[in-house]
Amino acid sequence: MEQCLATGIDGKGSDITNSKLIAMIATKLAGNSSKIDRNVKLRLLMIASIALELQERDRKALVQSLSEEDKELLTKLFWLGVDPAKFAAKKGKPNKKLEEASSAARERLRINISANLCRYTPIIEGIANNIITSDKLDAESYGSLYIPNNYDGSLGQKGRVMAATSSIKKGGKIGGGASDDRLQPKIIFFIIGGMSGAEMRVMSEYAKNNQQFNVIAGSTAIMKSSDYIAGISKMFTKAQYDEAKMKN
Amino acid sequence: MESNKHRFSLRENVRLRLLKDMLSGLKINFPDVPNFILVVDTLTTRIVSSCAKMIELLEEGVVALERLDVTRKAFPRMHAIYFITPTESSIGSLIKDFSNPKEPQYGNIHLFFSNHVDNALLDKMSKQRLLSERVATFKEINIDFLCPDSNLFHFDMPDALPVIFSKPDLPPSKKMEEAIAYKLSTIIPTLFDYEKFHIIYNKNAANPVSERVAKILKERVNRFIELKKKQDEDVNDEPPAPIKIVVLDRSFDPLTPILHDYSYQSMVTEFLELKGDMVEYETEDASGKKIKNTATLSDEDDLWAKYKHEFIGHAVMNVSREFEEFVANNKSSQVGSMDMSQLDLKTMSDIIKKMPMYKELMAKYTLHMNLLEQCKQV
Repeated sequence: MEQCLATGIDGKGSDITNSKLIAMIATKLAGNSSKIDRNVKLRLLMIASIALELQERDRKALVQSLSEEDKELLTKLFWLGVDPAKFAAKKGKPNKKLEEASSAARERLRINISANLCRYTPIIEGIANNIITSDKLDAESYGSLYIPNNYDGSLGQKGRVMAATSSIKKGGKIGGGASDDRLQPKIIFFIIGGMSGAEMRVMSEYAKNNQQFNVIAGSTAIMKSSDYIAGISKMFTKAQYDEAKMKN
Repeated sequence: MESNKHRFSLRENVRLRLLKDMLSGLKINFPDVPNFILVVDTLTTRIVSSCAKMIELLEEGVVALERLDVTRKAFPRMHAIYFITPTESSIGSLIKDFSNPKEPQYGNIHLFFSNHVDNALLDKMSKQRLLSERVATFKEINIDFLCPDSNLFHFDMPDALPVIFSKPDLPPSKKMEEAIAYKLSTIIPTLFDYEKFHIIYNKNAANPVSERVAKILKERVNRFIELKKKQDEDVNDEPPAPIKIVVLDRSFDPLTPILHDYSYQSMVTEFLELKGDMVEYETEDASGKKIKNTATLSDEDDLWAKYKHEFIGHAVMNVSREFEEFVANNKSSQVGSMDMSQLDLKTMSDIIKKMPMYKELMAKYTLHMNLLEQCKQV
């Protein structure tokens, strides 16, 4: 069900409409609501809030069964760019990220039927692949800084030549890695605000599939879903933020 | 397997920098000093222990590893290496070690900081005459991250998420952004060779977190390049390959961390007790009683290394298949087929030699079957 919500397609690869998904959640929450673990409920509604672009009416209906504290937690997703007001204004315009997620999920299902439980592809996989296949990243979404300033960011042909062909040993110098490393382009991915297990897996697969590069992945912290939810619950509410800002 | 082929590893580079840049360097500069004490704080303990073994430290002349935050025995004639973070608390403890002129903690000291030391703290140290007259080495070694896997790093800063994202433009958030950029920049000297950089950040109009971090990072990287130019008498004719750094803030994808991932490693982290790389799991003994066990999961365990990123269903299949193969192979060729009636000393010692390996292997298979079983139940 999680996977359906995140990708908008079912286990067979067909589209599911939003209203159907909302009905699914409603049934799940209504059926012995008291027995469902708080975390399960919360996670489900967080996924729905992010992936479904819920209309205000549906949103209100779904969050009914949550405690006040958890309702407040959902509103804090605003800090990560999840904004119900914006969804309402956009009306009907398709969500680009979600579209990409659906098509990636279809692809996964086509290749491997047991991917049913892992249809969803973390967005970082798409970003990582774009960096290699196209030299130009979508300038609307990404900015660039270069050192030296006149460097154009190209990875050159070096990455494609096996670096082992040229190995000049660093005689007697203290430190210094294996000399082959210096000729292999490096790509470092860094996520501010925590990296999940799925992203660690994606990065490791990416490194395996692109051995012409040295791939390094990092984050401010490694987190599981409960750590992430705990982090969001620690966020300021808008009111708390405004108050702190006034004092400052 | 391509175990012989050289593979780039950030963790291996950290190890080299600690053992060679820091420790061997000291041995060259102070050839008459036979032994050192290494003092570390909460964070640097984790850096050292994640990539170097005690025996390796010993080989470089470190006879004791001591925690800065506890009361230690004084060795007023020994040389001590302090590998610490440049924070108020760690530098406070350092100053305290040399506050009593009658009882200095150590003789000469060698200071290595995990990151840049700001002027205020530098001032504070230089004002302590008892401390400053003992300083024989002062260096920003710039290793300020943890490396749980060969090419994976993190800062153990779970608070970055709430602070940076919900307090934009407030002092705690600004301070943290700077800390993150500074820590991230210490990856660079750990790569050894660098010249050209392309830093990419995701645009977030509401709160340009990654843009700010990327800009501070650029300044720091420039600083490292300058420093490198000064000390390098590099003879290599070919310039090092370019480096891309992609800085993303969590708003680029708020969804993925909530979804369950079904790889072996993700399931273990999510559902079993994991402390560092120690995992706790339950097994049943012969009488059906539940017992708690612990095991270490690291890449030295080849089953873990091979299957940790696989979908849980595949991992179960593969581990059981390998186990069956193992049993089949060994039944026919090894212990199982030996004729016990003609047991001579040589076959006996052969069996004994093989036993520990079997025991270990058997234990490993059972461990993974157990873990996978528990993951599946959830």
